Amino acid sequence: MTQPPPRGACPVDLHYADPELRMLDLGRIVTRGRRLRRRRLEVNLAAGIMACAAAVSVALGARDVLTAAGPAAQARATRAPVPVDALIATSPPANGKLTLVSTWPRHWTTVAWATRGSSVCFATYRVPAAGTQADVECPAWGPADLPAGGASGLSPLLPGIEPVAAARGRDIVPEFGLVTLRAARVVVTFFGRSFSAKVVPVPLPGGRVVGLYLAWVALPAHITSYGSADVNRVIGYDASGHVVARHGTSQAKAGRNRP
Amino acid sequence: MARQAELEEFTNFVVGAQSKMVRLAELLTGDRDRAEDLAQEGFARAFAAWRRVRTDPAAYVRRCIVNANNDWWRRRTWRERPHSTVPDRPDPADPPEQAAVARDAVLRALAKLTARERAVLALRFYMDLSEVQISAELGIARGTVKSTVARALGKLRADAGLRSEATS
Repeated sequence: MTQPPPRGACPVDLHYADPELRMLDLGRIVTRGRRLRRRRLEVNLAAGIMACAAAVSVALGARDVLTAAGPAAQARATRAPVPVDALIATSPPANGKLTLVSTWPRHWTTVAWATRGSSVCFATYRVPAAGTQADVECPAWGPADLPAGGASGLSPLLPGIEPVAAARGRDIVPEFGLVTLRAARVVVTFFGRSFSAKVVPVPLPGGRVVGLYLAWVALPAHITSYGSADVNRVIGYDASGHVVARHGTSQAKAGRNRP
Repeated sequence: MARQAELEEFTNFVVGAQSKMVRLAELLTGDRDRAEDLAQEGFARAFAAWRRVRTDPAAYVRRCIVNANNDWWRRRTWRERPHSTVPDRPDPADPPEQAAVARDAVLRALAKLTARERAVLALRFYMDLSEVQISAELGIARGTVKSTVARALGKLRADAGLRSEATS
C-alpha cells in the first residue's frame, strides 16, 4: 500500500525517469537563433522607418489614424506602444487608417484594416505587453474570403484563436470573422454557449465596406484543447433582430430571432 | 572571438539545461515530439537575445516554452495533427517499459488540467520555483498562482485513475 503524499505535495511524480532521452540539435538551434536575430533587426529597422513616417505625417498635420471609436478610446490606443507597427509598415492600410475594433477586455486593444489588395488584417494585443500576448494576422482574409452578401454572408472561420486573456476569473479567447454589413451584431456559439459581438465596419479600397466582429469567448474550465468544430454556429443579426447571415448548424429559422 | 565565446557559453547552457526544459515542455504539452520542438524554439530565442538574457537564460527559455505552448495549442488544435506512427501501448510488466508507464500516467493525469494549471504545477513542482517567481514568469498575481496550484492539486488528488494506480 502506497502512502498518500503529504498535503501540499504533488500527488504525481513529475521527476519520473526519462525513457527516451534525446539530445537537441544544437546546430539547428543556433541557425534558427541567428535567423531570429536577423529578423528582429529587420523589424526594428522597419519600426524605425514607420516611426519617422508617423512623425513626418504629424508634422504635416495628418489626422488621427483611428476611426470607429470614441475620443477616449482613440487617445488610449494612440498613445499605446503599438507592437504591430512593423506589420503595418509592410502591409499598410489602403486608406491610411486603422479601425479600432475593441478595447475590451482591460489592457487589450484590437484594430483592423484593409490592404490595397482588399485583404483584411487584424491585430489584437495587450498594452502593456506581457509575454507573447498578441495575435496579428495579415492577411487574415483574402479578397475571395470577403462575404458577398449571399447565402452565407460570413467569411470562413478563422483557423486560429489566440491569445488568452482573463476576465471575471475565466480564460477568454478572441474569435474574429467578417460578416456582411447588413449585420449589426453576431452571436457566436462556442461549446454550446452564446457570445454576442457588435459588427464594426472596416473600409475596403474602392469605397466598399465590410463588417468585422470580434467575440471574446470563454473557454470552459475543463477543456485542454478545442477546434473549429467547437464553434457550433455563427449567426449575424440586423438591427431589427432578423437573421442575415448564418454559419454552422442551427435550429433557429431565418427571421426574427432574439438570442 | 567574442562570438566564439558567446557560442561556447550558449552551448554550455543548452547542454546543461536541455533535459529540464524538454521535460518542462513535455509536462505542458503531453507530447514528446512537440516538447522537443518547443524547447528547441525556446533555446533558439534565447540565443537570438543572448546578450540581453545571459544573466538568467533559463528563466527566458521557460517563459518562451510556456508562451509558445499556449500559442501552439491555441493555433494548432484547429487542425488535425497527423502522426506518422501509431503509438504503441507499453506493457507494464516489461521492466524497461516501466519508465514509459510512469510517464504516461503522469501525462494522462496532467492532461485533465487546464493549460495554466499545468504550467503552474510544472514550474512549482518540477522547476521548484517559488510562487513569487511563477507569478513574475507567468505575469499573474501571486494569489492566482496559489489558488491555481491548490485547484490543480485538488484535481489530481481527486483523480480516480491516479488513486487506483497508487494503490495497485
